[in-house]
Amino acid sequence: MRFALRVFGVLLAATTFFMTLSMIEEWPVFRQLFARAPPPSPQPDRSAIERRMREFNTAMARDERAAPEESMAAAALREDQQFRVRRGIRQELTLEELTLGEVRPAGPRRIVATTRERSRLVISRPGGVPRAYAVKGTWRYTLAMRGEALEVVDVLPEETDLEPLDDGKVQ
Amino acid sequence: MRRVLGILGSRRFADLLLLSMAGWYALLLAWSQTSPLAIVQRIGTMWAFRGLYAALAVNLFACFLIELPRALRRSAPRTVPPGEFPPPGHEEVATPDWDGLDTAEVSLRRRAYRTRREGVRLVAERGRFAPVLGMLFHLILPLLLPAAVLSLANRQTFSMDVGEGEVVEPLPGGPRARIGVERIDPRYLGGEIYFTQLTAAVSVDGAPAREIRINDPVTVDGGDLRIVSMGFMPGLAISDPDGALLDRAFVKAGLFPPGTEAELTFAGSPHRLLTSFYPDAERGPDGEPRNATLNLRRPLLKVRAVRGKLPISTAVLSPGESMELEGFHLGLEEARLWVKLEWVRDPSAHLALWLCAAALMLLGAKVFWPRTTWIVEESDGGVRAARRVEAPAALSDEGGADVP
Repeated sequence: MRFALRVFGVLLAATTFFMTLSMIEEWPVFRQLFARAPPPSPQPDRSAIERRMREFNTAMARDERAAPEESMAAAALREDQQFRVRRGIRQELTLEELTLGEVRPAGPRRIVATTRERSRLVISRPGGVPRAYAVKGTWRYTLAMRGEALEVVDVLPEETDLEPLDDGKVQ
Repeated sequence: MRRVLGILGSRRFADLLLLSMAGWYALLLAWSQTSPLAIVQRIGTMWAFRGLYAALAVNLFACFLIELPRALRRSAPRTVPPGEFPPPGHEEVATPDWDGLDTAEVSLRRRAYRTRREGVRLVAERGRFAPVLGMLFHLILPLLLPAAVLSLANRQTFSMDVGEGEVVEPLPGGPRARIGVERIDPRYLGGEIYFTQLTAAVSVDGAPAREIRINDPVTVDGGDLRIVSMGFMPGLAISDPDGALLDRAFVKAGLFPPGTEAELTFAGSPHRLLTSFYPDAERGPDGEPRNATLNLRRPLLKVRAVRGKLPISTAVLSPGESMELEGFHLGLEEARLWVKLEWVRDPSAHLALWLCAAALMLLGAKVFWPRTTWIVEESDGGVRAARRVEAPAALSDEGGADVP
């Protein structure tokens, strides 16, 4: 019994000693345990996210920059627009329905949101006639919080379907 | 000074250090259940741990200094006073094959004993220096620490991904040699994802290729070049609407977790290509490709092309097939294996390895070659023999030995 207590004492003392040294070495990590926890970063509510997505899609439909910031999505949009001008492709994408799905944090001040969308796409290529499609499916948006503003950083289609409308003839 | 040496080399100090290490390793084990390996490794190399190892090295060295003179004293040739038989500490052993001292001497010498005559007795000994061997074993342990420090300070590591059939020219920080991989041959357990064997035929500076395995490296520029991992790389070519080749490249394909998509882009186009690679593809019930095995037999590349937020087209390509992409043509030319080769030059590692081997040999000699003494004397037309086997001595609390 005495031996066991002695061993326990040694273990306790050694653990305390080396734990203290470790905590000093890794103070930036351990400080969070002792310091008062910082207030959680405000998460935008779902309506704000949805509103931002609708604005982004409207801006995209107008071939404008989606956001005043130099986001990846805005740069890709600009590149897309220049490509279409070069190739003589005319494209109108009109958002008809957008339902916000799952929203989850993806790092500090960054969220990933999925949407179910339906859009009307009219596209014409050089020498071809304009064709109309319904674009339906799910998209994944990555949004960054810049101060109070939300910026669409990236958008990718996940499961999507392109369905010709009215035999492809544009009304 | 002697007192300080006594404390540093004491068994109590060793107990304290070993118990501390045991406690910390238990904590690390608990941590490893909840934290990634990298974090546990980081904790395990913190200064507290390094201090612990350094303290253990000091303890062992001090113990060596204290114990060596005693071990040398215990290794001195032992004289057995004539008279009483068997002598104190010896046990009598029946030896019917020995009919005289001469046959006993021949037999014992054959078993690596050193023999001498003391009056009417034959004295044979082996393993006389077993106590010193034990001390040398303990000396090697603190020597391993500087070897490890030297290794950390001088270790050169360089990784490269090389495709099958590819030759890599010398790169800064890497081996000064041209490395070519002629063939890669992975084998899997039951066709599943676990390797049973991964070999690559590697040539150095154009010499005939040598087959290397994960644990069987080849020596290049003073270092060891070994395989670390492997993967697949589809070879893609993209041409513009006029048919001019824009780009041709092999891209690394990730297979795990299933459903992983690699994203590719190419200059002059806003398209993003989301690709999934299947080295041995079969069609699932839904018609979608899936992997039957990880062998490169029936490669397929599924490509989802996206422009802006619009899905442009989706295709599943076999080697030799291509897809149209708003004027561009994207073709899958072939698929190959690649290996990650790691080159490590670490002269101190060899030193540490030899020290470990020497330590094991010394420990083995101490344990399996204990000091053994035979006393043989003539008796009534035959001989009688006694033997003493000395177990390795334990250290006392004060750093001394329990055996006088």
